[in-house]
Amino acid sequence: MLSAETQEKIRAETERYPSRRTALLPALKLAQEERGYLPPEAVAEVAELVGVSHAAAWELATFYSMLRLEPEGRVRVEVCVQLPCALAGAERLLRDLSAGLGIAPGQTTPDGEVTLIRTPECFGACHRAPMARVNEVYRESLTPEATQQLLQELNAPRQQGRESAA
Amino acid sequence: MSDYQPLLLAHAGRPTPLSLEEYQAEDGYTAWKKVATEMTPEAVIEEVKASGLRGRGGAGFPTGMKWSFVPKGPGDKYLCVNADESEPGTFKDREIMETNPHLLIEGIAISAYAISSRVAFIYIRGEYAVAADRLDAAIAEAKAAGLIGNKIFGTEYSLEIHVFRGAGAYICGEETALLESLEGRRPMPRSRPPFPAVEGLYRRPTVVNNVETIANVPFILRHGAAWYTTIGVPPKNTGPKIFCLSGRVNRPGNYELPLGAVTFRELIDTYGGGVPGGRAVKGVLPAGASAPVVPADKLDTKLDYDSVAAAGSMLGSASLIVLDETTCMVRAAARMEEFFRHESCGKCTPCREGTGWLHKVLVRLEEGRGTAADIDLLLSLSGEINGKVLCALGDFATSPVTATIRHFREEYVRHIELGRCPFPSWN
Repeated sequence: MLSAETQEKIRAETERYPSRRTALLPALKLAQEERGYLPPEAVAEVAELVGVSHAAAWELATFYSMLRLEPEGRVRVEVCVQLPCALAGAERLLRDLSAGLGIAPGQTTPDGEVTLIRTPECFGACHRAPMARVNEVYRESLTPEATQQLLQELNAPRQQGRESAA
Repeated sequence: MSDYQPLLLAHAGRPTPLSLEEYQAEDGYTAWKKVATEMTPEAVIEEVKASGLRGRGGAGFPTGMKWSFVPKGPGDKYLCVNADESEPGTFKDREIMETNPHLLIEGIAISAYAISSRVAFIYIRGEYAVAADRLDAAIAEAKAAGLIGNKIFGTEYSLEIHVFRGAGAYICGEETALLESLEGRRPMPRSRPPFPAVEGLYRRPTVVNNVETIANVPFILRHGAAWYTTIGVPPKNTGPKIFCLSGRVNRPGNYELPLGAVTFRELIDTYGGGVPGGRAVKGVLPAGASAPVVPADKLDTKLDYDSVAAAGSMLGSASLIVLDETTCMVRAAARMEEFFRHESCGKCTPCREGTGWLHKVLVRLEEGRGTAADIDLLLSLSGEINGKVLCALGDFATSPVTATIRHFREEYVRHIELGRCPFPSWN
């Protein structure tokens, strides 16, 4: 079950637009915000709150790249490798992140913290290439030095976690 | 360099957006007040027609004419602003929205009034969270000041503006897919006719305009169409245009200039600071991944809709990706095709299946595992997609392939002969 707060937000969305169904995509995003991804029961619950068939909700959940059907790391690092970024060092950026995190693109660190993604999608930051999207935040102009800084930020909480465990 | 003063990006580079007070201090919302209190919708449409403004999203269709297709008469009508900026190499709408959200809101108010729409949507790509938050805040400011909302300036006109965030899908930049997405359906393009002006959002008359197009509208109404046509090359290439410059240039960025004011070469050298290492330009993609590459011998072409079309390509969104002499054209084509493969919505079989095959064959060729027959295979596959799909995006998906073969066939042949790529890696 989604929390009462998320359910309330979804209800508010269904009343915002000229048609209830317009709220379906925002509602799925709200459910994902709470759960971290969209398990089948969350998709079904959203469908019922908005008043559409489960199939209608699945049509969206399986289409959009920002909607996820599987759990991932708490931090999602997406590296754009489309042409403008590729011409400005995106392959190097991806390699550095991969080495620094100890995972290949598409994988999540063993502690479940960080997921690294290589995407051919362009994020509209080509003048500050190469770049990565870290959850909602654009990290732009990722020179080798700036990449090391980003890696430190990504790895710091996990190192702290290991130290306190030891 | 030209002494042109930017209008749309007058505040580029600001870390925070222009506030309502700051925008009003530079005559912001004066055009909207004049329109709402003194002008008829028809008069607004005539002014925009007279300005010569053409759609800045890519197609370059005359904006005033698009508005005039909306039937008069009662019933709901909608204005949808296309802020789903997802074409590789395009980052202009983002800068307008992040630095001057009120410019877009004033443009929306005037444009919605012109087509008698009382509900407008800004469909913004989900990744542009910063821009979307700034628009939400600016809409709240404008509403609190009585600039939008109920009975604006004491007139009978009311307007509500919604910011609707997408969720990662290039296809939503296609106007009928955008409408499907707004309706809560899978964003797959519709068959036309009917066109959106007749049957669009919720099956009602709808206009879909790009962010940059709408951002031009306040200036046209503030200073008049006659003033607007002094910018650019009248009658068909008027007004300012933002050129997004990326790829192999020293100073990538957004450059706002009058249409037709500079050539490819001038933009790259004078504004972009030339190519790193003083290397030569091999070609320029003028509209991201979607328009044919313009080879180096055409770099003296003026940057306006008609000149770029005459040079065998398309100005489109004016997202110029510069490729230098060390860039492998086969690899560039493969990378762009990977984008189309990823973004094909899957509705039309030729695009859904064809983009996958194009990408696969391009990768094989780039890695030196291709044969001469593969070049013909690419052209034949492209012919099976182009013109055989519902939307322009399917057609666009073939241009990285056909244009690089047309202009740089010898590079394909060298890969096959050598059994490897002769160019440096992108590492």
